[in-house]
Amino acid sequence: MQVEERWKSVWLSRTQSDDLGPLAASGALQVLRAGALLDWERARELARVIFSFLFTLLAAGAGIQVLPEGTARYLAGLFAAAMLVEGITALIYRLRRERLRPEMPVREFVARAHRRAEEMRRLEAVSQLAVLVLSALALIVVLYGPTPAGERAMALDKVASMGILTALLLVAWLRARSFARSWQISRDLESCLQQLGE
Amino acid sequence: MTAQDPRVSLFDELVTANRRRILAIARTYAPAGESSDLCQEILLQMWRALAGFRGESAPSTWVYRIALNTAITYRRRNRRRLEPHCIPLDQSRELEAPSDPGRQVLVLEEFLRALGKIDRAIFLLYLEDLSYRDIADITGLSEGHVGVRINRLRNAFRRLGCGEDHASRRKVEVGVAQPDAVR
Repeated sequence: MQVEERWKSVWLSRTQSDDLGPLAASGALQVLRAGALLDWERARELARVIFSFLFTLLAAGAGIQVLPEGTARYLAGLFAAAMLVEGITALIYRLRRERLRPEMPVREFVARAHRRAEEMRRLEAVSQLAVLVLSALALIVVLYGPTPAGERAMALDKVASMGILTALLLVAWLRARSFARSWQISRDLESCLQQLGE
Repeated sequence: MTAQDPRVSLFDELVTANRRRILAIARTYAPAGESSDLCQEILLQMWRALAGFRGESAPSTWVYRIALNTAITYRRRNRRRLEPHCIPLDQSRELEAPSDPGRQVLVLEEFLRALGKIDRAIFLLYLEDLSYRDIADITGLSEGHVGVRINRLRNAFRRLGCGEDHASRRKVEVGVAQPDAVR
């Protein structure tokens, strides 16, 4: 027991002499800086919701009004659907973002955080599946879709198809990355729950 | 928010009185170079929770809970993984049992980082010289459960050969229960 007391005193005296680093300045100032970061993150989430719905409208409008009757028009429709999925996911995420009270005991906090992470993971799984299906349909459309008459229309159709397909695959990749992240978070919290004996 | 704001005064008081604890937790849970980010996050959570602080629990308990909950669930804002130091302890390895305090602290830190997040919290609170009751209050576990966990961790630490007094350095075999490796 004497040895353990020695280790404890080594630990306590070491951390006592630590360089204060970020806590050397006023605590309130540090909070303001971190708070600004949080506002930026909230703004980013809100922007994601707004721009997803805007791109939905843009893609649908472009498909109907601008693009010739052909593959690109169908791809625009599929892209609009993918952006709609993205927007709905982001909106649900934003609405469901509740602040967990960090002053509760660790066990209770981790259990609640895990429940929420699981909800988000299931949401991400559904939206990822939806986007994957849309991407698969897009590839089929590219292979078997109609070609417009006229050289100019055909060229526009091909160029637009390439661009829209690239954008659609980018959305699919972003969804997959988002799902992987939510899965990792959920797994991490599950591991903590197991350690807590839940 | 002005300097006369009672919330700011209370917040500064809490930070000043508990800065060592906050730093210890941030250094234990964040990789090198990221402890200041985690510190900021802990301070932010303390600020946001301040309205609900009514003194029902001791200030240190309140701070420990917030700091640990924040550290356990913390992820960098650019979403990179946070746990590069977590190493599985089921592999035997050799450690030197140091005699000087500086090296002893490194051994403690290495041992802590090799533990899972919850074991790390419990052992850190034990090193902070808290009673089993206080640790149970912070973690939400029963006192008996805390006692069992701490005994297991102490035994694991002793098996490293560092829990004994050594006149000279010698290498010891290490083999302890595998923690949850966070990937």
